[in-house]
Amino acid sequence: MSKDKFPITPAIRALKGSGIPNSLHPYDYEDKGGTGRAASELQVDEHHVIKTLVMEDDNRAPLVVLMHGDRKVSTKELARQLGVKTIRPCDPETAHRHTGYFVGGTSPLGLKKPLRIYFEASIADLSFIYINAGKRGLLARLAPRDLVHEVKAEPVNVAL
Amino acid sequence: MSPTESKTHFFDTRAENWEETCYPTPVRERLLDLVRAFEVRLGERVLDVGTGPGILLPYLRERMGPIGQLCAFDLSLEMIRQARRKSHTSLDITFQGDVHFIPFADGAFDRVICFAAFPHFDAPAQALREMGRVLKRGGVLLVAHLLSRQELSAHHGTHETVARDLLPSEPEMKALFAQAGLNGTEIVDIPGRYLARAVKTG
Repeated sequence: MSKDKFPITPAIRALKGSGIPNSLHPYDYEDKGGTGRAASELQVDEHHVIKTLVMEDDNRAPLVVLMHGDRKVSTKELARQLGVKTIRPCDPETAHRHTGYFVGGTSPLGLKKPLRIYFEASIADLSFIYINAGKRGLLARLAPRDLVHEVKAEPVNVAL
Repeated sequence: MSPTESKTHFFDTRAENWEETCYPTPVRERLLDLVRAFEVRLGERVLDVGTGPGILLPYLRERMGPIGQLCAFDLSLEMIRQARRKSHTSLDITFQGDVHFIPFADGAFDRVICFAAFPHFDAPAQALREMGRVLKRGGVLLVAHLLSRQELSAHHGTHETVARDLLPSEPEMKALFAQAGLNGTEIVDIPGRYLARAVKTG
């Protein structure tokens, strides 16, 4: 993918509309390679590559969690912090229905419909992060503060 | 370096020794008195804005009991690193953040406390609007210092980076609070204490 031929995904459109300084970084996507693959391909610390996880609470209300690539989400702790009984990851079809994105290409930007978005509090410690730009094999590099403000994300402490 | 970056750098470089320098034992006793005046209740959700090294966190946590949630942020990451050492429960959230864009939903908190931080904000009116926005209706905002307004001006005047970081006059402060939807403002401004308290009514 040459730099001047990036697809215009809803996430990229949202980024352009927001005016947030960013840069796009394509990499050779591998099915189930996750953030480890992206970090390795782009030669960056996986801690800075942020996963966009789509989940549901016990009322099947969807939500998005942003987590460091090298950490996991404690759904038990997340449920406790959000005051619900349970939270579990959505299956790929449900996640697609909620976000408009396919697994591996899900971004918190340009979601099909507004969802509650939460970010692991320590993501804000980083001066920059890589987040999916709405397509498999394409990340956007930006400041976490800008992202959190743009998508109105709330902090949580749920990393394992 | 922008004024905001200069200030962040000022606090980052002082974070490690801030607590022992600014809060020796006699000052802590006065701090405890001040925290009592915040009237934090069991089980509340409380936001500590500009938490610095988290000096208030243990005192607030004690008053909230184990079920309340205590969230705290500061623009200085080094201060946040100090504050994180004080978090007591897994419900507590401490993060680097900017008061001008508080990352919480409208009406998320019972009480917002801004201790020893307000004069450092770049845009006080916007900061107050944000603090008011995240308060529940009937929620309480407290802006507090362990110095009077006059004492604070003299204190900040000794450091060039923060020399112009002053508290507004009482009429100005009341007007700023009102613009932010905060009413019934009461201000105590006496030697050793500044405490502005208002309730969100809108």
